[in-house]
Amino acid sequence: MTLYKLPRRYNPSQLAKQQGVVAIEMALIIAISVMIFSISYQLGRQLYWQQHFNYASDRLAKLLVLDISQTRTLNISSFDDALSLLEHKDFATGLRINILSDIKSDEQSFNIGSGCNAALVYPDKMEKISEVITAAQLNSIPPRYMLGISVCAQPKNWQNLTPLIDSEFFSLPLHSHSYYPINHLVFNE
Amino acid sequence: MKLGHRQSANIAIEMAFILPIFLFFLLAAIEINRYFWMRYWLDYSLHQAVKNEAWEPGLGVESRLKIGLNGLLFDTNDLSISENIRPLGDLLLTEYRASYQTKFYFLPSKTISFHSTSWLGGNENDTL
Repeated sequence: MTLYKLPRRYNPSQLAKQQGVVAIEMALIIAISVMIFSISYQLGRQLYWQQHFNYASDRLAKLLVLDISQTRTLNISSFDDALSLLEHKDFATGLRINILSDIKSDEQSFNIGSGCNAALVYPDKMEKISEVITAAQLNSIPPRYMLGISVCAQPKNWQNLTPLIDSEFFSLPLHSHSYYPINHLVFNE
Repeated sequence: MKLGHRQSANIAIEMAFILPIFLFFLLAAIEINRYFWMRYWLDYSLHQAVKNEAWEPGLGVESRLKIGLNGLLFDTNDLSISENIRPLGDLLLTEYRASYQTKFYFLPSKTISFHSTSWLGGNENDTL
C-alpha cells in the first residue's frame, strides 16, 4: 500500500493561508466601502436638509413680515402657524423669532417649538449687525425694524459625524437664519 | 503549475469575489448621488418658482417649476403639484407640494418618490 502524496502545488496549509488572506482583504474592503457609503449618504442628506431649511426660513421670514405689515401687530399665533408649516416627522423643529430695532426697547424675542436653538448664538440685536448700523448713523434715517428668524431642526435617528469629522459643518441640529426688513410705519404710524 | 500561474489564479479568484461587491458599491454610490441631486434640484427649483411667482405673479408655480427642471434628468410629465391652503396668522398661504417619482435601480422596489414644499402668500409685494 502506498500513501497518496499530494502534489506540492496543493499544499493544504498554503491554500488555507491564501484563503485567509482573501477573507481578510474582503472584510477590509467591505468595511471601508460601507463606511465611505454611510458617510456619503449622511453628507448628502445633511446638505439636502440644510438647504431645505434655508429655503423654508427664507420664505417664512418674508411671509411673517407680510402678516405683520397687514395686521400692524405682532401676532403670536402667526409664529405657531409658521412652526406648524415647518414640522416634519423626521425632525424636532424649533423656531426663534426676533424683532430687531434701532430702538432697543422695541426689540422682542420669541421662542417656540423644541427649543433646540436655545444655546445658539446668532445676531439677534440690531447693533450686532454691523452692516446696517453704520448706514443709519450716517444718514439719519428713521428707526429700522427687522424680523430675524432662526430655524433649528434636530433630526431623529441620525448619526452625528462631528466625532469623526471635527467640523462645525457637520454639527447637529441643523440651523438656518434669515432676516427681512419691516417697514417702520407698521409700528410707528 | 508555475508560481506565476498560481498567482494569476489567486488574483482571478480575488477579483471574482471583490468585483461584484465593488461594482455594487460603485453603482449604489452613483444612484445615491443621483437621488440627492434630484431632490436638491426639485427643492431649489420649487423655491425659485415660488419666489419668482411672488415677485411677478402670472405664469404660475407649476409652469415655472417645469421650466426650471427642464434638462435636469427630470421627466416633467411625472411631476405632480398639489396645492393646500394653510393659515399664517391672518394670511392664507398656498402650500405647494411638488412630488416626483422615479426609478432607482439599487432599491428592491425600484421606484422612489420625493417631495418638496414651499409657500406663497397672496400679495407678497405688499411687504415693500
